[in-house]
Amino acid sequence: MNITEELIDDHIVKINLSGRMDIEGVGQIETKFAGMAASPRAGVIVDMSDVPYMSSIGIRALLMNAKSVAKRGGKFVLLNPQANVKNVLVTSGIDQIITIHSDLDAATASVTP
Amino acid sequence: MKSIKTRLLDIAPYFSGWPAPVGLLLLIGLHFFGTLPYQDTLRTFSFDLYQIAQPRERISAPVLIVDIDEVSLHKYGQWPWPRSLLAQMLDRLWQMEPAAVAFDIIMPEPDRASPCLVTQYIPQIDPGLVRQICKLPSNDSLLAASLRQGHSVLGVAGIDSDTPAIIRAPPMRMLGENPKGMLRHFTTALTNVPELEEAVFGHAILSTDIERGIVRRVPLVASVAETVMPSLSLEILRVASGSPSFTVKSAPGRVEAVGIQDLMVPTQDDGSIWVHYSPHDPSRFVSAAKILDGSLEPDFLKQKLILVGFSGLGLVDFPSTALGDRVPGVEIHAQILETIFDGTTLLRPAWALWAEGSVMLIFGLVVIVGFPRMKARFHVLIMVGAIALLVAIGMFAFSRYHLLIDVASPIFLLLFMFGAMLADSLIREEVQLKALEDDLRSQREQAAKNRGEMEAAMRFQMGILPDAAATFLQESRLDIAAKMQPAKMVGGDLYDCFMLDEHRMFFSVGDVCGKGVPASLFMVISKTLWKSVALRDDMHYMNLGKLMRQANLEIARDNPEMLFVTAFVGLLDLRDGELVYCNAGHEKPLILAPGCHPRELDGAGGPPVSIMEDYEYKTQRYRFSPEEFLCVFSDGATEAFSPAQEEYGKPRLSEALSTISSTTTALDIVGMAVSSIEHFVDGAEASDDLTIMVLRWRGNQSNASND
Repeated sequence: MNITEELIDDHIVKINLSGRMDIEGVGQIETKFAGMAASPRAGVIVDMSDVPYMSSIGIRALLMNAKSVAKRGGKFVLLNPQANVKNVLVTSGIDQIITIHSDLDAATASVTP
Repeated sequence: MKSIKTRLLDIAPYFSGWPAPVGLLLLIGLHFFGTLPYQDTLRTFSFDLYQIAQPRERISAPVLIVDIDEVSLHKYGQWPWPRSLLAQMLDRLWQMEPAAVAFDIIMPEPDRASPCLVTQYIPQIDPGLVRQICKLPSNDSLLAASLRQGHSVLGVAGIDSDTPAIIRAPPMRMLGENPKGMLRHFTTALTNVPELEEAVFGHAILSTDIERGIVRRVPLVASVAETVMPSLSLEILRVASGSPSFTVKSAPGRVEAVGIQDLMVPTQDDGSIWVHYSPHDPSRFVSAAKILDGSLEPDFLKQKLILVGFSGLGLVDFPSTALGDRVPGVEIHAQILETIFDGTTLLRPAWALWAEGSVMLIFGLVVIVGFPRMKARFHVLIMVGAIALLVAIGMFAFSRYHLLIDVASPIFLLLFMFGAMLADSLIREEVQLKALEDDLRSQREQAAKNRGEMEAAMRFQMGILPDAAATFLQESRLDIAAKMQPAKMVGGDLYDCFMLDEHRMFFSVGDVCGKGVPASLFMVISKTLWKSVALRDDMHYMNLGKLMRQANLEIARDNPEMLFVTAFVGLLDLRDGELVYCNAGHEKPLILAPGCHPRELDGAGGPPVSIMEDYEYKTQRYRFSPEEFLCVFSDGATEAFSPAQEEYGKPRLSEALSTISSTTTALDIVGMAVSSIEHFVDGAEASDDLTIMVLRWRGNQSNASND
C-alpha cells in the first residue's frame, strides 16, 4: 500500500490511500497513517478512491485513527470509497460512526471548524 | 571443558590483536638487518628480471676482445702458447695503435717452451749446443720486452692462501676514509712471473665472485694483503688515460664511488658494481689468429681498449650473465667498460633499504588496519593495484635511472600479510558459520516448541466450540451444523449454540478483526461473555440488543489493541420458529429454501462490538418456515481469494447454495459451501478464518420426523 498527505488549507489535511487494505497492506502503512492522522490539523479527510479492497483489519485502522482524531477534538471523514469497500463499511455499521462523503467539497465543508 | 567454538575463537582473534603488527615489525626489522630468510635470493632474482625485461643497449664500443678462440688454437697450436708467440701478437697489436692492452690471462710460471728450458727435454744433447742455445733470450724476456712497448696491463687472481707474494699495484688516491677495510679482501694473490710484472704498465685484479654460476656483482677495487688493487676494467682505463693513480671516494664505513680523475663511478658499499648486461655480441670479439696473420684492417683497433682472453678453450667454465647468456669471463670485463663509458652502470642506492622498509610498513598497515574495514572486492583491487604500482616503480627506476630498487620484497610481504589475513578470516567465518548453525538449530527447536504450543492452543480453541450436530441430536425440531476453519493455527472466528431453556436455542457467530493469537484471545473472551450474559440476564423479553449492549460494555472497557468483533447472535424459539436476532456489523446471513434463490436476512443492529464504548443495539425478528435454512458465515467465506487474487464473494456463495432440495441437511449445506470455496481458492493460502453455521427449524413436531 501507499499513503500520501496533502494540505487542503491550514486546518485540513487530506490523506490519500492506495492499494488493498488487507493485513499485509495495512501493515505497510499503519505507522505512517497514525502519524499523519495525529497532525494538529482540525480536519482529516481520508481519500479511499484508490482502495479496491478492505478487510476488517482495514476497518480497524480507520477506527483507531478516527478515534485519535476525535479525542483531540478533530473531525475524521472518508471520501469516495469504491462500491465494495463502501459495502463493507455499511455492513459493519462503520458508516454510522465515520461519515462517508462522495465529493471533496462536501467533505471539506464537513470538517472545517 | 571448552567447546570447539570457544577454542576456535581463542585462535581467530590473533590477526586483529597484537600478533599481526608485531609480526609485521619483526619482518621489517629483519629486512633492515638483511637477515630475512631467502630475501637475497628473491632480490637478486628480481634484479635479474629487470635486466631480462630491459637489457642494456650497447651505445659505444670502446672495447675489443682479442680472442684466443678455436680457430687460433687450430692454426697456432695447443694452449699454452709459447710466450714468444704472445710477444709476436702483442707487437702486431702495438702497430695498430690501441689505447691500451690488458691480459685476462695469468702467467705464474716461467714458459717452459723457452729455448734454454727446452734443451733439458732433449736427451744426449751436446753441452756446447746447450750453452749456445741458452744464450738466446727466454720467451718471458721476449714477452716482457713487448709489454714494455706500450700501455699494457696484467692481472692477478685474488686467492686465500698463506703463500706470501709481492703485490704490485698502481697508487690509490683516497677521498675520505681509507677504504681498505670495506673492500672485498683476499689474503694474497696468484701473480705473474716477476720479469713480466716488472715489465708491465698496469696491475689489476681479475677476480669476480660467481653466485650459482652467475656473475652479478664485480668489485671495481679489492684489497689483496695490504694493498688495494683496481679491477681489470678500471686499470685499463687508468693506463689508457695516462692517469698516475686511481681514486676511491668513501663515506664513513662505505665506499661511495671509484674512478679515474674526474670519471667517478658510484659503487656499492664494498666498492663493487652490479653488472648491467647487454646480450652476448660476437662483434666484440676479434680472433687472435687474425692479429697474427695480419689479415685485419690496420685501423680496426686504433684507440680501442684491447682485452686479451680466451673463449676457445675447454679449460675454462663460462659464467652466466644475469640475462642467462653463457659468456667468456673476459666479455664481462668488456661489458663493465661499456657501461662506464656510456654512464649506464647500475647502482643499488643506500636509501633503497629504507624506502623498501617504509613501503613494507605502509602496505602492511593497510592490510592489517585498512582491510578489515573494507569490502572484500576492494582488497583484490588494492592488491592488484599495489603490485602493479610497485612493479612499475621498480621498472621505471631501473630503465630511467639505472637504480636497483627491490620491489619483490614488499610484494612478497604484501602477499604474505594478505594470505595471513585471508586465513584468519576463513577461520573466523568458520566460527561464525558454526555459531549461525547453532542459532538456526535452536531457532528450529524453539519454532517446533512454539508450534507445539500453538497446536495445543488450537486444540483448546476448537475444543471450546461445541459440536453443533451432536449437541442437538436429541432435539428433533432442529437441524444444525457448524464449522470453523482457522487461516492460521488459531483463529479469530467463533460460533456457539446451546439451549437457553427447554424451547429456546441461543446461537452466535462472530469474527474478530485480524487473525492469529491476538484475535483468538479476543474471540475466546467474546464467546464466553455472550454466553455468560445470555445465561445470567433475564432473556424472557428476548431483548438481544440489550445483551449485545452489555457484552459491548464489558469488552470495550479493556481493549488496548483496539480489536473489535462483528457478531450475529440469535435466539430461536423451537415452538414457533420465531427468531430474535441482533447483527453487530456482521455479514448478512442467507436464507435458503428449496426452489428459491437465496436471500439476505436484513436488519442492522449496530456497529461491531467494542468500537463504541456504549451503543444501543437494535433487536430484529424473523419468523421461519420449516423449509427455510439460515446460513450464517464469516467474511472468510465471501472474502476468500483465488490464486489470481479474485474474490469469491457473496454471489458465488449464493450460487453454490441455490440448488438445495427438500432432503438437503444442514451438514450438506456446510459441506457444499466449504467445497465450493476450496475449489475456488485452489490451494492458495487462506486469507481469513472461515466459519459457517447452518440451521433449520423443522417445525414444532416434538416426536415426529420431518422429511
